[in-house]
Amino acid sequence: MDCKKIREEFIEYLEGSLPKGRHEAFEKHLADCRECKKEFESFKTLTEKITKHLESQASSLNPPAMLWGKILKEAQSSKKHRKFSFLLKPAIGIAACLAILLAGVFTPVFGAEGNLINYISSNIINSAANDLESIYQDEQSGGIYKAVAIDKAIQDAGLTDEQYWDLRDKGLTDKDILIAAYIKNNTNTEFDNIVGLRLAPWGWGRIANHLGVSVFSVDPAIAFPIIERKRMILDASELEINAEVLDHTIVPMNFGGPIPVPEDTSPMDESGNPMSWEEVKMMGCARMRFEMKHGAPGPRPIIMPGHCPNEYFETTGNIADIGEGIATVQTPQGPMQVRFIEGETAMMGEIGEGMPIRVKGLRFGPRVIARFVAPMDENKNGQSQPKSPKDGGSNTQAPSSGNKTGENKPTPKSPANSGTKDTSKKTGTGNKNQSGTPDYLNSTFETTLKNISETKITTDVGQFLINQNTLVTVKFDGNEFALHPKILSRIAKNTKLTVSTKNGVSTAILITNTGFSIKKLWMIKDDFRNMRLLCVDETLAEKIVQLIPETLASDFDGIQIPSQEIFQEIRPGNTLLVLEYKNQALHIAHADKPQPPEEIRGEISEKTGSFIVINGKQINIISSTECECAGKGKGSCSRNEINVGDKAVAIVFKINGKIVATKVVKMPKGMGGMGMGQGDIKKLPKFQIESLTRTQNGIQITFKDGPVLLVTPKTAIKIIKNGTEERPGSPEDLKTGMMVGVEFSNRQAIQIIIEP
Amino acid sequence: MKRIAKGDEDAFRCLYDEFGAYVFKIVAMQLHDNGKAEELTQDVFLKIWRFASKYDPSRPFKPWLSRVISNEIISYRRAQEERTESIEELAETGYTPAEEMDSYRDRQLSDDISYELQNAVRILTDNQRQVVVMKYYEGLKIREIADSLGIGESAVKARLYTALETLSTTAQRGKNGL
Repeated sequence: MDCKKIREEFIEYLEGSLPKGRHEAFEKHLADCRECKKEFESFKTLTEKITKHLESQASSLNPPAMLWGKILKEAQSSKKHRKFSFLLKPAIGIAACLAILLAGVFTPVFGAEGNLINYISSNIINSAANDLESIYQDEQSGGIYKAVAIDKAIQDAGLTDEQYWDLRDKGLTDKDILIAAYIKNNTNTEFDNIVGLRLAPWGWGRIANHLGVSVFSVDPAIAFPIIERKRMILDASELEINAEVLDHTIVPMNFGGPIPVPEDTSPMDESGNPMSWEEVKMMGCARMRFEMKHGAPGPRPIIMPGHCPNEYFETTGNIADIGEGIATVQTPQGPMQVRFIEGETAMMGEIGEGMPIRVKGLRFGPRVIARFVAPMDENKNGQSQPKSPKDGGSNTQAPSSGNKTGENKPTPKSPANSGTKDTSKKTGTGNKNQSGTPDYLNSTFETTLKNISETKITTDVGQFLINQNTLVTVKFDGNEFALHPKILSRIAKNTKLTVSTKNGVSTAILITNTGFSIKKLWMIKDDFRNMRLLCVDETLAEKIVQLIPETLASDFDGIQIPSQEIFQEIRPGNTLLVLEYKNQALHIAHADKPQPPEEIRGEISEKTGSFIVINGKQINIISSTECECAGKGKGSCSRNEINVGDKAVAIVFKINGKIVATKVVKMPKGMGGMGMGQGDIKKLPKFQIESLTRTQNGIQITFKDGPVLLVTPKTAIKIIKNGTEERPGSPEDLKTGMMVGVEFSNRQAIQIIIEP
Repeated sequence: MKRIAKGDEDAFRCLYDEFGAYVFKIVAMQLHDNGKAEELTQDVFLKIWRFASKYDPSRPFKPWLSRVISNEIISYRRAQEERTESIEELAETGYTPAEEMDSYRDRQLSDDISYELQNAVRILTDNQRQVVVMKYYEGLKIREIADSLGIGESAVKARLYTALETLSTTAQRGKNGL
């Protein structure tokens, strides 16, 4: 065979497609011809580099998340088309002609609606919403109407005020939120999904139809309730809103614009006693009931304690600047404008720039108005406590209310409130202030969740910061699981909590009941891949659970594993404990001890796309099976480089009786039957164990005069008795000072042979 | 595939989970355009959805899938009025493919060659890039590539050797700063 012919067969040789006779002749020629051998080695290197380059390029290319949705939608529409095509055929010609005629006229009009049907639905929905919006025009009553309508929509959608303002920040109008709320109520769709489509941006008709409201029912389902809302508002004899009270101006909690209140308006309390605006202002956040006369608010609004449970906050900071009646306080949340209320802030004369102070106040949407301030040493000196309507002091009640029970105190209560109404229970031995109430800024106490985000938690006793040192755990079935701060927003309102705080920052939050579901005894069926786990459990035949980036896993043999490394620890057949929320795995851990791996060594006699055969055993290859060329490191081989005739070691597990490989290591040629019988196993280089250290990723072995290797659950550990008898071992069998045979790759032990 | 042929959306989803990213990567690497890759990936899966019943389960799936992908790419390219840069056109701007590859051994590639290789892959003709991706990313054999593209095995080999020569030469030129 000449050199030219040989060089033309490089590709076939490497892919293993040369006929047997030619294959042998090729190898013989290469053994005899140095030039061709060098040429071949260079060619092989080039192709390996190309493969590596393409794989690396591919790793950065990922389809957009919404691609599947598009494909499914198209597939569904094509299915419908297939189903009814026999009916449509005669009409196709006419429809096509019409489409051509209409396209030029109507297509641009559809815009975000996509098609004529959606466009019609959109018109119905929007005309109803515009109709409601038309009553917002008048200054005072319009503002109140709008606040009431939006308030109802927010309630319907189950939004917190923070979420509402987040949506506003994203560019959604009040009208959008209102419509989204009605669509949610009629379709049982998650509000977030509706908002996502709107921001896509989709038109309202398209969203409604997409979510299952047909064009024929969009009027009664969506439009009519909106119109009905308008009628109810206009016909109402009184309307209530939560609002911040300023000088003859009120600012509804969920509506950004201030509403001027005529100067001759005379508020009164629930008992009918007249109140001055100053008194109303002291309440900060008030619930105002307006009697409506002829579609306009009457002159005597009834004032009740406000209901702003999510708005209360408390923080500390340093005074950066003092102006007339207002100080700028530098707080962990950023600079905050703190308004002094004349006659209310006892410490006015004592406050100076740079002084550390405690700020208590109310947050209205994006606006922060801190009303009460006190020096940081208030707990040390009860005399210096500011007397505010909220602090239970002599002027905590409106003078004209006549209500001595404190029932009309504005809520929420300050942590320093009188303990008589305090439902929270202090469990720790933390500090108390001089009035005997718990110091919620430095103690451990039980409370109820009002709202939680990545950076702060609002409870019924106040608001506390969450930082990277805050340990948030959830208790479930007697076990505690750590939660990543990013998933805190998923915790349901009114969840019972035990909160530990230090200087107003929560150091530990234990959640004792949640809306999460936990799935036990899930078994990884036969596959797991990037960001997905395919599991089976007792009740579900099969389920894909998304492993989200926020997932925090621990308890993998007592070792905490970062989410991106979880896949190194999970293998098919493992049973897991999965804390699940809406098909997302928030926390996963081994429910049982992982199965020890076994290995099958020998020559590959058969290979298909889904399995290889070694020693007559069929070994299934799945997408997570890792391939490796011995000595070249993790991921050094593509599965296409491992072919029939190669000697290989497969590290395997059994799932439902089937052998599944987690790793296939191609052994280099010329290793003389590496791993082909005990005699060869003994040939593994031997080292003495100097030390064993448990690390995050496994056990690290330091060998005397040898490598430092990591023993992972994938490492095969075998104990040889009497020279031939073999039984599986475990990491516990490894002892300092022991001589062991070691096969390793890329600092990881592939196999350890113990010969006592 | 049998379930998909019967209109089973769950099975279709499973197939997408398994091969969605794979198809997208192949198309994106061949077209160098993620937007178009998204469109063509969609088209590939819709073809599978519509023609799943045509798949012969006794034959391996990947070459069949590869044929669907190749057909989509070929159709797309045919539809393009502007032809992508060819090696001949690039030659005018300074890139000259080697007339012949005397020896690979003089062009040992170093580990830091990826940048040069990346540029070199870009200057391959569409046909060359297609067989390179099919061979060295998809891992298809020459016979399977020939089947997918509907051309002879010798044509596949010729394209591959020419592409490898170009890659080797161009990458080496880039590395040497030529």
